[in-house]
Amino acid sequence: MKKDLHPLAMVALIAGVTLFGRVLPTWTLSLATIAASNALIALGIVVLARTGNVSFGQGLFFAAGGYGVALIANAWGLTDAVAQVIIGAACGGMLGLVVGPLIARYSGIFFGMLTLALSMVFYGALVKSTALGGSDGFNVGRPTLFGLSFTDPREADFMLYAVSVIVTGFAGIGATILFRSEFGLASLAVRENNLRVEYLCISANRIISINFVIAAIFAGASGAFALMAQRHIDPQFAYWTTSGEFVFIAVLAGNQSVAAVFVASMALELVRSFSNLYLPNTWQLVLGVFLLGVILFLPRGIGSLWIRNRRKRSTSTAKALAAERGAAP
Amino acid sequence: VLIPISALIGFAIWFGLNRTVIGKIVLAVIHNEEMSVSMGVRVNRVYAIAFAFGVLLAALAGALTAPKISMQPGLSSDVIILSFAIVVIGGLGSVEGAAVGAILVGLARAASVHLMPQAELFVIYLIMAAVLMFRPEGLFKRETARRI
Repeated sequence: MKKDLHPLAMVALIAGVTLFGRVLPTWTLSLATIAASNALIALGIVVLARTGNVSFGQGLFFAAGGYGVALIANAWGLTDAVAQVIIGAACGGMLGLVVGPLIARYSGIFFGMLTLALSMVFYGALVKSTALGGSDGFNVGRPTLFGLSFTDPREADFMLYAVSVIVTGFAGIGATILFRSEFGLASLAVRENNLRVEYLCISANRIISINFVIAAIFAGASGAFALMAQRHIDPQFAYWTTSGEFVFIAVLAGNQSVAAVFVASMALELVRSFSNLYLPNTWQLVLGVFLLGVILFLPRGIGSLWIRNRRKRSTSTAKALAAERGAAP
Repeated sequence: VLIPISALIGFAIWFGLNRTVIGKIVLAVIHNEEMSVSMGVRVNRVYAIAFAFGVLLAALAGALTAPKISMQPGLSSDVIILSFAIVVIGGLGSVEGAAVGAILVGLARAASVHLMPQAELFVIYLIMAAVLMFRPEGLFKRETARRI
């Protein structure tokens, strides 16, 4: 995605990707759904990382969105996919609105550890609450779309794929617009030096809080997708390894490009499932080597492949990466 | 054996960091990297040695605790979180803070297992949150000049 790509072109891109789903095999659809959902939450982390703070506790909002949707679905029988995404985003966003301003005055590792602490407290509470199924969680019915129910599993998969790609795509467009806006640039300034930003009569805490809420909304919506894809929820959603995985996608992508987040998420999911399929005993090893390779050769993330850095070195690393990917399965 | 060894090492590190030239260099690098470079300090080497030293301590801790617990490959993840929590409670870059944090966390964990088992999972995080609430930079914070 070039810097000057028009939002309408991006909308066309989303439509293209969605329709492309018609020709993809079924296993790719569910994989792409998971990848899109992970990309959405990683995008939130990238948004937040542009203020210089990394949240290790996005699992909190992920789980909040998931549990909110699941509880409402089971209590009132609300199964519409779009409504569920909106509910998930609202749950995540409301929690973010509470947590964000409290946490905005911390920075660096303190910020990360505090978000982690909150998500782990939530995890502990979920595990102990028997009403919510304890550590086993509970099941949720199949999602519908605008009153249509999908009995054919392929159609259901495609519906989920379409909804997740469209929502994630629009979130991506929103994030791109945000990054280019005055507010997005102010966020970058907060990362560089928050004291100077304060001198310019901009509240650094407010910028961090708003970015935090945006990240929380994305995480909540992503939780709704994960719930719809698995049709099951358990406290693992809030566990710190879950959050860590999203942070990893964000690190892989770097914070220069929105498209990189999608590429990174898809690449990670592909490497994981292929190595899981062909090397069932050593897939973690393959995944680790892949992550290590990206970090060693692309220290600024996958986004640095096509942003600014079009020198000889980047093409050679692209080849190395391609070779790495080719070698992985 | 564990307690005297860790106390000894803790004291040695505190002494090394605060009372020797090498310690001063390390602190200078942390404080202002560019300035240290211009003063002729090999910053990358200091980072590498500091990292190696941290790894050494971690390996030592692993070797010393191994006989007391059951070893498995996933052992590391719990330790990462615990040690980060301890460091955050104590304050970054403070040896005495880490010691106090470790004692606090260990006692709290043991107490909650004994008195309130349902809180065992997250008592550490509660303590961390409580400490950060009142002292946003940890219990023992090294005074630093604010760079503008």
